[in-house]
Amino acid sequence: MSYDPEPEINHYLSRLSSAAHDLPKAKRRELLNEIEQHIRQALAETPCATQAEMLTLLDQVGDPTEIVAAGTEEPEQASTRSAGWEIATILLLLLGGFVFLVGWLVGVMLLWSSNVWTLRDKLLGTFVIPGGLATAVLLIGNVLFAGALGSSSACVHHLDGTTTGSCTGGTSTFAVIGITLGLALVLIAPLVTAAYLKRRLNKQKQRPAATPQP
Amino acid sequence: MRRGVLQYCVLALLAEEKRYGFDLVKALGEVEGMVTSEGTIYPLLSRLRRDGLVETSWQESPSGPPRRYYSVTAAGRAALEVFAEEWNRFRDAVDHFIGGRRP
Repeated sequence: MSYDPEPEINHYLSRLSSAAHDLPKAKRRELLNEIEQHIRQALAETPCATQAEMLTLLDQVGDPTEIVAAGTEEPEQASTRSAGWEIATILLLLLGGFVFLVGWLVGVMLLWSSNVWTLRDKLLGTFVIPGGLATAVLLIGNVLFAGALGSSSACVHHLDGTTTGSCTGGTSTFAVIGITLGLALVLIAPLVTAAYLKRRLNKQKQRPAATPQP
Repeated sequence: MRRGVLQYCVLALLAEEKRYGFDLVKALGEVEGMVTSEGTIYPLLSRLRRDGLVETSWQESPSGPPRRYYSVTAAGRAALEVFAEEWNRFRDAVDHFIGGRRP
């Protein structure tokens, strides 16, 4: 009884074919032809008597996705491009809100048109927090202003313990702590997002290098 | 790094004589540590051809279907020369620092 390697070869080639799905048709066909010839020549030289031997031979040829990746991961031009645009994007998201909000909008547009960040990064960059630091400053300003109004005119504590005017929740310790925490969060969140985007940017820039160009 | 250097090893082998894919992979495989998976040579060859560093021609084989032979072009030779010079300098520089660490 002799071993028939054909099913194993076909299985391998169909895996390679689907791994190469995104390649242009001609390139894909050429790659499949070359690899099939390679396998057949290897087989002609050292015939495989068992499935285990055949699988070893195919292991040497390599993982289909790895083979396809070897052709697509070319020395990337994008990685050598300066990170200027991305840095500008992060700064605009953080500080652009101070420029009549338009700066922030430009930042969002740059963020979404970049191919450096993933969808999750982009969502985070947009929604934590819209307007960036300007929003935080605006909110803090509002609260301080309202607080000043509340304690100076609307609510007056007299020495005898009575109170005139409307003293609303503003005086409750819980509310003060809540508002303070909220404001701190609004202030810190855009900074954290900016730092996160910067870190993602660095990672992305490091990854594809590793190929020395003459 | 290995892949960046590998293409020049391929060019050097092809500069000696033209070879077909399987033959080339075997020649590379004779030196341990150069090729981890044989199939990745083919996308590399395809790229070298697109860059004009190698060219191909079909030839009948004594057994089986015709084979695609790869040979180095003038541009390929030139690229190889430039790399060889750079590599020698680089190797000397690295050896200077870590050459003594050989186990």
